[in-house]
Amino acid sequence: MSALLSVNELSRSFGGIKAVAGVGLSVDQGEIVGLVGPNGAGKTTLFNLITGTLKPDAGQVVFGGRRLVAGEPGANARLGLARSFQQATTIADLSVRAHLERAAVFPALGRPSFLLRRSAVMAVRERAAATVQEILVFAGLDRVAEESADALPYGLQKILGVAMALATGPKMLLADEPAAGLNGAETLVMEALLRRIRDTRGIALMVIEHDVPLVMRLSDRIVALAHGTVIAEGKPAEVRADRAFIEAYLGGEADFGAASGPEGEAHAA
Amino acid sequence: MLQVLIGAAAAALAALPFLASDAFLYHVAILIGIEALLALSLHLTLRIGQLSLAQAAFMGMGAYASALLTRDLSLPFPAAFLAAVLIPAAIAAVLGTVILKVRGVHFALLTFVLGQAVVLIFVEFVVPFGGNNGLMRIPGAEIAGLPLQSRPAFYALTLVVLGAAFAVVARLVRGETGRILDGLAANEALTQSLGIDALAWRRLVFAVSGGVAGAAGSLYAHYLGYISPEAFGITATINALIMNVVGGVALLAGPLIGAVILVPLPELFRSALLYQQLFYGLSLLALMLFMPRGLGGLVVARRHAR
Amino acid sequence: MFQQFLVVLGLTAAIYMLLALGFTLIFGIMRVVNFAHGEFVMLGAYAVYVLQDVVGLDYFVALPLAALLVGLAGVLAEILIFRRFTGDELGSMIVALALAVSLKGAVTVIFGVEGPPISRAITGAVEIGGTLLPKDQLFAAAVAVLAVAATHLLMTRSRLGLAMRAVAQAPDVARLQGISPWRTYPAAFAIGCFLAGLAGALTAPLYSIEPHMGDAALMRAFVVVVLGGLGSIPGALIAAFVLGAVDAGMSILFNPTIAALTSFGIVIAVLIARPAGILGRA
Repeated sequence: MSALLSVNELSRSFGGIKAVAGVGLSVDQGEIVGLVGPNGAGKTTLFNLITGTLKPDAGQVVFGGRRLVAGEPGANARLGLARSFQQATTIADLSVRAHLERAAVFPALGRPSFLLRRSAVMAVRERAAATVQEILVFAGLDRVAEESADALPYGLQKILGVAMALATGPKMLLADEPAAGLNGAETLVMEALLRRIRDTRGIALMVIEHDVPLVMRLSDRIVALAHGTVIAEGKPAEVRADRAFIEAYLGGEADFGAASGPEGEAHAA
Repeated sequence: MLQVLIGAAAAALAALPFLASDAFLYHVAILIGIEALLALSLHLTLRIGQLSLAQAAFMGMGAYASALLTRDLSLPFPAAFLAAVLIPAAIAAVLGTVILKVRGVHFALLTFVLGQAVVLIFVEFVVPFGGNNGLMRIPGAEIAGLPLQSRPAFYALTLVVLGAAFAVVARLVRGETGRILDGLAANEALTQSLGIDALAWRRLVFAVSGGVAGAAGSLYAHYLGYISPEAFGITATINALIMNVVGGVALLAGPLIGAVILVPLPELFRSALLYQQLFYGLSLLALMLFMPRGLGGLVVARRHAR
Repeated sequence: MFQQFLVVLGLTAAIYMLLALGFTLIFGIMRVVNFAHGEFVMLGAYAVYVLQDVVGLDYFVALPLAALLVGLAGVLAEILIFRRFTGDELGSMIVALALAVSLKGAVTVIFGVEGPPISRAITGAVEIGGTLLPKDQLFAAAVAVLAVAATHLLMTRSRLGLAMRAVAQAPDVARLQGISPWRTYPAAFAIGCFLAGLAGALTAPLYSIEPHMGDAALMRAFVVVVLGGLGSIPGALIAAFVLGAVDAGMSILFNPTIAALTSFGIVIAVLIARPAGILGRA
């Protein structure tokens, strides 16, 4: 089976520092890949390069057989490459349902040229309500559907972030630290949701996560980054035993079994 | 209910010059319309979170295009007006591709310099722009042989143009496209991740803002009959900004409210022309400090309170 | 011809540096784009006119006094106006524009649309290397260089300067170390506006004064600061020479309008390619 996403020799520097240096990896259809590494390893930069938020200095990203255009995250999202963010993200003071409605309709509106092809957009609009309702139930947000997203507990806001990505109808979801800042119970809910996304919808996942036990449980395959390069790759058990991975992690942060990484703590503070 | 009242009040206000049929009232009303168009174009750039200080320059492009096409190339007014809308819009679209990537303070600086550069181009290239003296003897407006030079007719024309511009802008900032623009303003990264091309939408808004400013320029040129570069400098843009702040930056009607309040004052008190800048400046300062949502913000606040 | 070019370049670059320094200082420390900077320059010019030609003070007394008064006006502007817009880029820009329009309007109302004639305290010329140099221009350039050097020392050596730079780089960290932005911000405005006022007071006798003279001053400061990078003092110094060279060169070869257009073109290109400026931090 050919890979859904393949990343070749991707590089990007900021002011002389190589944040991502020649990274290559691939994700198959319906696969869950965990992306781990100490802070500053280049994980979020890699996500931004894949989605097109950042332009790479070198290298390319192929998704679903198409070469993605750097610098156009909107176009790439419309191809089915969705992402959720490290921080909980909301669009202003709107209800949960309104957020999901936007997520369901926006991909059809992408560029101003939609003003010229109304019939196609009408079809999406008609389907949107049903899509939103289905996602609300799927993500367990149906009971808070009419509440303001800004007023939700942090854990539900992060669930909403994943649900919005889901509402765009993606083939693949890049989740940036979905469990960061969540308590134990919330983390379990998030884990179950991510697993169901793959199991019932066949959507491939790439997950950045500092909660190593979580990512090891969840992933089919682990890619470990340090200093912008891939230092280990393989099944969770293999990577866990890998010397380079242990050294990078112990060198980067002492407590690699902790429930949440430093970013999570900073957020809780 | 409130909206009906406001609509009725606006209609009554717009009809006032026809009822009073006073030449001076027509004159002031036409100026309000032209200034409101410029303020509306600035309002659009504020809606995409960018303070463009080049809007008067776009108005200038429209004014010069319309004047030169009718006077030197004998094009009919409707064709020249269309060109006066499309040329600044096209220039804004092309420029926008490059300059809209620049954000925040730097965008304001960039458009400030750009606006000044456009004015200098009008000054420097005497052919065809007439240098510091500008252009004289611009033909009056005329549609299909029907002259619109008389003040009532020109006021009607101004109303039509203003109404059309408001309709286009309302279409853009409300409904589905409004949701996209609000999303981009509130959380750009998230909105882009949902499949929206931020630059393409910003460019569309910027192009429309250029076109609206160009329409203001065309009306201005054919109403006064002469134009000169300094009318399109930074002061005109700042006045438009003041109208937005006075009327309420977050309101579509803000530019119109601001123009209705601010434009008549220097015209009513001829001797007050000397005090115009001080008055404009102090009112902007006071509003920014004590009423940042503008006078229109009072209405919105009351609507929310209910 | 070339010698003349170099001399004109040296004199204009010194003034440009002074014009830009206060502007870039205020942005660097407070992230405020002071659109009223040109009006503070204008206030300096009118202050020296009032002190010299109305009150009757000697120019050499009126000059520092005018700059001090403008510095004081800057402190007032910070406390009464800009403080409320800390961290609000758009708001602080709009309020600065409002202040600029108000000051212009106030000066127009008090002194009229045409500026008053100002007497020249320094006359005559000296010959250096075969070129005749007006003494007043030499004096202005020399004071400008001294003021720039003094500001540099103040920013790098004094406790106040270090505190201001600490606030600029990391306001939160600075606060933890007991440096209050509420003390450093007025200080930044005081110095920035003092320098603007000094520039106005120095150049007032060289050119005519009028309410709109600040526009040209602001444009110059703008161009220099954008080229050098907003907030960067060394950048401003280098950019002043670049702009001076473009201005002097294009004015001699073509005319001042072409010179201005050229420098605007460079600024636009730089802003698009590298918004942080040639030497600015990204």
